[in-house]
Amino acid sequence: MSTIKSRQSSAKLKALVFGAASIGLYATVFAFSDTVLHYCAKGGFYNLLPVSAVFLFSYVHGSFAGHTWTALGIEASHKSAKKTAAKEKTAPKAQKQARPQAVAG
Amino acid sequence: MHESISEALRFIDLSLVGILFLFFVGFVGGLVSGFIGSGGAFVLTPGMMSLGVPGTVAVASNMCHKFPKALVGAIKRYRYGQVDIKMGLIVGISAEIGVQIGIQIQRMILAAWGQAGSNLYVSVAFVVVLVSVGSFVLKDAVKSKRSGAEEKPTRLAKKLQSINLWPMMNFKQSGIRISFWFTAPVGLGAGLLAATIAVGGFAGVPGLIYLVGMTSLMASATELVIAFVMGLGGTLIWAWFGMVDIRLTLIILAGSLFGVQLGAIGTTYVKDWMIKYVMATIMLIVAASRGLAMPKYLVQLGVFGMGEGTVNILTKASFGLMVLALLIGAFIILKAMFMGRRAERLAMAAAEAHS
Repeated sequence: MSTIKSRQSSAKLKALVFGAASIGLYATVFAFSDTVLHYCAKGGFYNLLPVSAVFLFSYVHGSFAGHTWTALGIEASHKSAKKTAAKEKTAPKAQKQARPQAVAG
Repeated sequence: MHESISEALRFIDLSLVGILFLFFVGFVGGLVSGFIGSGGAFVLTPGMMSLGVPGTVAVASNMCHKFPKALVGAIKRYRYGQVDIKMGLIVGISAEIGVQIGIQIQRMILAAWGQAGSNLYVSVAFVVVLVSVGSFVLKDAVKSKRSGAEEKPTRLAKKLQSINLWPMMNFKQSGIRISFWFTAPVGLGAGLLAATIAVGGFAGVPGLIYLVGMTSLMASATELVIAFVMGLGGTLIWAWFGMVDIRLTLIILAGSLFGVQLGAIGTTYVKDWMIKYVMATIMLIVAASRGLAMPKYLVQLGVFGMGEGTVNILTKASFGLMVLALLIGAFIILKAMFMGRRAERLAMAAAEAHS
């Protein structure tokens, strides 16, 4: 339980940092929307501008969204997390077993 | 192409209502995408067009939000051990070819029968594909729910996996060994559908489940990688022609990045059949929605006559039904997630009380 609480408080801090960064990015884009729109819609190799922009926003805003859910206590099922961890532990053995079968098949 | 339409005509002035609408649809679409691997795009394009955005800009801006959303969803689900990256990349590349074929077909139809013919083709494709695949998936979901057994590869998938046709590929994450020639049609189908109805996942996810032999959980997560590959390629092309309205893209992204992560979390609380159930429900309602839109195009083509008022009502009902499909999907996901969380909390409390 204490792990959940410490994870939530750490997520709260990260959500605040990424949230502020996200608001800053959105404010910048919309404050200079005419210029941003002009260059992003210029075409040709300027096509990398909108693509780079969405990568940047997806990192910053995506991190904000992810940490917000964690801070609110909305996380993946504990059963699922245990299953994934167990799978990772057994994975190398399973691969060794699977290879000869696959060749034989 | 971009020089022929001025920026003033391409890009609309945004209202607060428009921004809130896009944010909300982005969130709900993201939620559905994070859960079933696709969806949401079919409402966003007509939704943007209803705000006055030209069709090509709506498609381009929608696609530009799709690939970063898919990336974030894929990363989240990869952490849960649900993504087969290799499968996603290989099928994604085949899907790119499917998209190009789909675009050529669209261009041929547009040249032969004009815009109304093209719209009718899209609606027919919607209805035929979604009714046939959706009813099959629904039947299978009901069967899986009743049996309660763990999901197994279909007989067809097992048969295909047993055919030793060069080049054979091993997919460690999903534990599948199958020939490239059986994964390629899944990608082509997904790409073809994406170029036609903007939602390739309605072919990609069932293809990965029933032909390749993946579990629903794995297929829906891997579809996010396919959507990323397809979306990135498509965006680079649209942006080359200057058709992306970055403001629209970023507003939708603001909502969808919250939604996609919530949808991904939701998959950890549900059984496999729930993914099929949500997907089939959305597919069948969307098919009905497109069915209602068909008379408009038949009237435009002169196949039969109908009053303008009736056509307008049918068009509005069609869009309303599409929004309803997304909302019902989101409701089922949130309800299943809420119940799963509650059951887990009760089980944990009971375990603590025992110990």
